[in-house]
Amino acid sequence: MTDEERTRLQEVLDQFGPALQRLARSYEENPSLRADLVQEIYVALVRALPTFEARCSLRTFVYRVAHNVGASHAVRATSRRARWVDIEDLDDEPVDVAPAADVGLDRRRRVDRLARLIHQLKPIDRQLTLLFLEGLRTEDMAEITGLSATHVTTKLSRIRAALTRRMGGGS
Amino acid sequence: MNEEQDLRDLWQSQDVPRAEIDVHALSARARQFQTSIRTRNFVEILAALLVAPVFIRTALGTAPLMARIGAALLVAGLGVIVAHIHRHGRSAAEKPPLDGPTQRLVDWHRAELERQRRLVRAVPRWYVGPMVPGMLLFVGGFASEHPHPWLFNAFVYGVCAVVLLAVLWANRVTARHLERQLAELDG
Repeated sequence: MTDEERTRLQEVLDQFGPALQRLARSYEENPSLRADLVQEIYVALVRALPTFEARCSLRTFVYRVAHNVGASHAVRATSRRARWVDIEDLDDEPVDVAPAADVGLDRRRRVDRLARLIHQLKPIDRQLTLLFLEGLRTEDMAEITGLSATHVTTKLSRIRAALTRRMGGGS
Repeated sequence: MNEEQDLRDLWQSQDVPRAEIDVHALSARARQFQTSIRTRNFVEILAALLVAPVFIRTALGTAPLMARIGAALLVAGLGVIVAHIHRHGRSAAEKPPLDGPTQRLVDWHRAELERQRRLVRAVPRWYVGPMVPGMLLFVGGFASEHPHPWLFNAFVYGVCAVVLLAVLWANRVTARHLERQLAELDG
């Protein structure tokens, strides 16, 4: 690995570190296995970055690699995880409507609920949900997933509706 | 739209642990990954190389003729197994296309699961089948010299049958597991 590649990797990790941590959380519930997954994502980036040719943005490239590592991890973890479901069949357990006195606690509960919902999704639906939550544009999502922009839009509208219905209002 | 933005804010504001990043260590781990694939392939071949000489020695030695023929067939059976693993197990070592679109990765996983399912379903043909003739003759050959050949045969063939049935059962479980993974990807 050249010094230039090391510098670029450091920049990528500084820039996308928190997003990659959130991504890992959505692919692995167990904290210690999640730490391993984060390392696995970083190693994949070390191996993939030298092949980056600026045909897409660096963000698209990083998300692609990271999501693919996460999806591979989820596929391999069949014995440890619950069955994946269609976006329409997401767990309909009602949101805990009684807000906790502690705002921080309430927020953490809602994040946990959101993470649990995401965990039930199939790889592509899960990826689109995460990219939506990270604020990416439809075109970027299409480029990352390999789906057409129209397909992404259709799936996104179902995902948005399902999430808002199950998460309820207020944050 | 506000609800969507609330969800985004909620997701992005969560506390995440600060990961310690050592770029040099990551670089070393990336190199180690390649080495571990080569090591795994080497271990598979080494296992066959360690077992085969035992049977080759029996085949060329002074054991009863039937046992010698059995030993030679077992060596041939091992050869069939190693060749099959080498030919059909190879793509397991190939890396998934991590820098491509996720749909391509999902397709890769599907193809990989189907390959594994084919391999597992065919275990009676390429794993159990090639070993059975050699095993029967090998054990039968030594039984002929045993003071209680029927007892010896019953015991050894019984153990072999249990082992082979266990292999077949384990493969059936694995095949079901693979079916479930495939159904999830296709569903």
